Amino acid sequence: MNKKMLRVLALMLVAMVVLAGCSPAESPAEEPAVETPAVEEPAVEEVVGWVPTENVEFIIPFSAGGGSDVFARKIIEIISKNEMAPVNFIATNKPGGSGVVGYTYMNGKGANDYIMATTSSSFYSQPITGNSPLSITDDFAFVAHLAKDPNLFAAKQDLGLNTLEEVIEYAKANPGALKFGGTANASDDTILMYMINELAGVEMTYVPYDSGGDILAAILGGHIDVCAISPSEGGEHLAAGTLIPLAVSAEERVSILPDVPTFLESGYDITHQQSRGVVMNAGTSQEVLDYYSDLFQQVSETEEWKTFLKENVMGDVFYNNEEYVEFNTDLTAKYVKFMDMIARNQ
Amino acid sequence: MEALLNNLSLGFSVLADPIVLLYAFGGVLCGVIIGALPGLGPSVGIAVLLPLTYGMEPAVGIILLAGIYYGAMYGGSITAILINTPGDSAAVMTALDGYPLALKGQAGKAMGMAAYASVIGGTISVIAFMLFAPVIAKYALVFGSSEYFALMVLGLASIAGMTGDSPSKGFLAAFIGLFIALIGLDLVTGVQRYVFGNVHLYSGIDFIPVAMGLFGIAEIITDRGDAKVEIDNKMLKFRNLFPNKQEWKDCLPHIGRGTGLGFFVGMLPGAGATIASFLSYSMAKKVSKRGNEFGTGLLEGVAAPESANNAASIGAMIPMLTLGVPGSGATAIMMGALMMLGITPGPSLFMNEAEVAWSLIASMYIGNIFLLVLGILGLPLFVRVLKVKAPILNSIVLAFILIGSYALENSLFTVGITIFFGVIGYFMKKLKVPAAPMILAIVLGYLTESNLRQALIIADGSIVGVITKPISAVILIIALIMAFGGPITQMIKKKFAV
Repeated sequence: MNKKMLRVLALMLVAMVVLAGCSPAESPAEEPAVETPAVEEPAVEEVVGWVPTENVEFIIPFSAGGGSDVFARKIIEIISKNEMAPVNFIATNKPGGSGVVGYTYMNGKGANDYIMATTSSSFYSQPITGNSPLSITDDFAFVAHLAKDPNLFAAKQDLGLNTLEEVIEYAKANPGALKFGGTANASDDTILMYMINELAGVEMTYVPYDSGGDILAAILGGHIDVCAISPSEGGEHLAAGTLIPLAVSAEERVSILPDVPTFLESGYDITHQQSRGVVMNAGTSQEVLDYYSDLFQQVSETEEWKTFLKENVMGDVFYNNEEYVEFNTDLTAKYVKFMDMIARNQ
Repeated sequence: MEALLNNLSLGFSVLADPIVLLYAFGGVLCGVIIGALPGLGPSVGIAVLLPLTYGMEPAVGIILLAGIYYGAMYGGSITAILINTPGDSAAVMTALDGYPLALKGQAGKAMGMAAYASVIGGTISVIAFMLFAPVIAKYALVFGSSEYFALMVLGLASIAGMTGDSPSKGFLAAFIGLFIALIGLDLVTGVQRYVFGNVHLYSGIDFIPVAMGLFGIAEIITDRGDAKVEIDNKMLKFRNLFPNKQEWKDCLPHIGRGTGLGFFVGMLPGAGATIASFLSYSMAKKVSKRGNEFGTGLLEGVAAPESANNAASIGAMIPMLTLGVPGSGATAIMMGALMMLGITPGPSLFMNEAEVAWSLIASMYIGNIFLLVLGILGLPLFVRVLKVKAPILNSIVLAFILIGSYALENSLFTVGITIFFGVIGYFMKKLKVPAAPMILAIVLGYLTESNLRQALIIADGSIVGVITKPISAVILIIALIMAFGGPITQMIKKKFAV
């Protein structure tokens, strides 16, 4: 009888292991699409230079289901579906410390041609605020930049103000009165508020929340006055008029909110979007970076990728390895400037 | 009323398809199994099984996910009662009386009561959900940071009610818990607190590995010579799983209160099932005549938190579906799933996607029935786990716990945390320091602090502005009475008795 029980329990254990193995956190994409490395038949395409011969570990420094996770898994899906690479890309979630755990894990592998990670705003903010042992410029090699997330500046309904101009006038007349809700204490949302404060000459007060959902609950309940939120999170409340969209932080209007102007159109030189790219460890050779840069360029040109960006309200901005390095220098400088401003205000 | 019935029949018409029913049943079954595994709660369950819904009809997909969701809510109580290892955080309070009941040889009864309480709590909440969802959704938003802060203080005050024989030991555990909640980066300024340069500590210590260590591992390494779970074939008889008249009489009021409280707390974005079960347990202990016997194995101690956590899980769907504001991790993932299926939750959901919304409500009724069937018929099977010899059972449970803790973040660091707190838990057991207040303090500590800080910023730094808002003031006064009411009345009694 005990034997029987033992068998049942053993079976449960196996089920558990299988379950853990299948969890989105760990699941490798699919069966190998091409089993033999392409090196063996270089005649078909003009294969010049380096080609991967091992599976690539694709680090997502956040948990399954988040923005970075969806972004990374789509890239991997496109590569594997279209057989763009002779090896598999294996998504690995390493959440913790706002991305720092994932990046330090990658850093621990040294210059390695088969490990890379996605970036988002905390890739910049954590090292600059001293909350990461890594350095943006010294520890990473920049492969390719694939997308930008626009931010939406919105106001609560009962503030009774409907345009950016009106909100700024109100803020000028009442310094410190407007409470601005955003995610975390040194994020893109924080930067957006300080940019508005600086360029419009106003003074709003920042209230940090844990997530977009919390911000939404706070502004709908009237506990904060204005907020930064992703255009997709605002969702139905924008259509229903319970949340008033004021301006988007992209260079151009976003497709799901065709009536909402950009800050630029409204006469404020404010553009700031979350940058999403792929990085490797410093010391990776140029030909390896070139290979992956070309690969991600192919991904970015597919119809699937364009649809994905549209659905997720992300801007289609591709930079290859060279352009990304240059863009990164500017972006880092911008983060340094505003993180410093944030720190002085706290 | 007629419109309501029409809507409901629209919902049930989707469920008339046997395949859909099968999905609903499969969802509940998977949920119960996942919920029973240590460390895996509803959010993990939904995230793991999410890919199954790809390509399904939206109505069917959401019915499956909802089944997993409330199945897991119940499943957590199975291991809490049988092996003192809560399957998820919402079942922590169930272990307090459920495990002593199992030690007394009444595991079957405890699990039966857990199932009945869950189903009653769930069903009443579904009715409330159906009748009031759109109206309540608006009022839930009245709760801002100040009100949440007050609610969290109320939760912390309830520690006084769960400390057992020695309040000072309970408070000691709670303060250690509050300290643990401080570890990590400061929400407002980003300053590092007690992280000692370890990147794994930047985002703080999650309470799930702590709970698995304090309850699960500590239980395994403690010598159980004196605490042997007796099992008697007679108690597995169907009749014995049904509480007798007296027990119903004792438990029903607690189930009623637990349901109301759980539904209300669940509805508030950010509060959720865990806090609902904490509050319900301590309220039951306060109002019960046998309050001081709580923790020694009372069925009421199982009924109160179990009805509350299932009621909360239904309540939490209200802000998610009607406002697009998820109130918990699990509902956030469900909302993502809905959006993936092409449905945007929000004020117009009930108009634009009436079929999906109402078939979800209909599935909640059916799902609760499945839950009862599974809970009662599966019981003899679950309880038989206890017949396995201790060394074998322990090693299997340990394996579950370690895999579960690794799967949380794909990291050995969380496994280390689990083992570390297992050792701490061993000493706490030996020193008779209760573990529940520590878990509660870890959960509430972070929420208390972040809500207070937000409220202070909003009130321009004035603490008076935070505590004098009408709702927060009322809640804070209740909290004060809860914490100090007992000792003060005793003092007064002493003074006037002589």
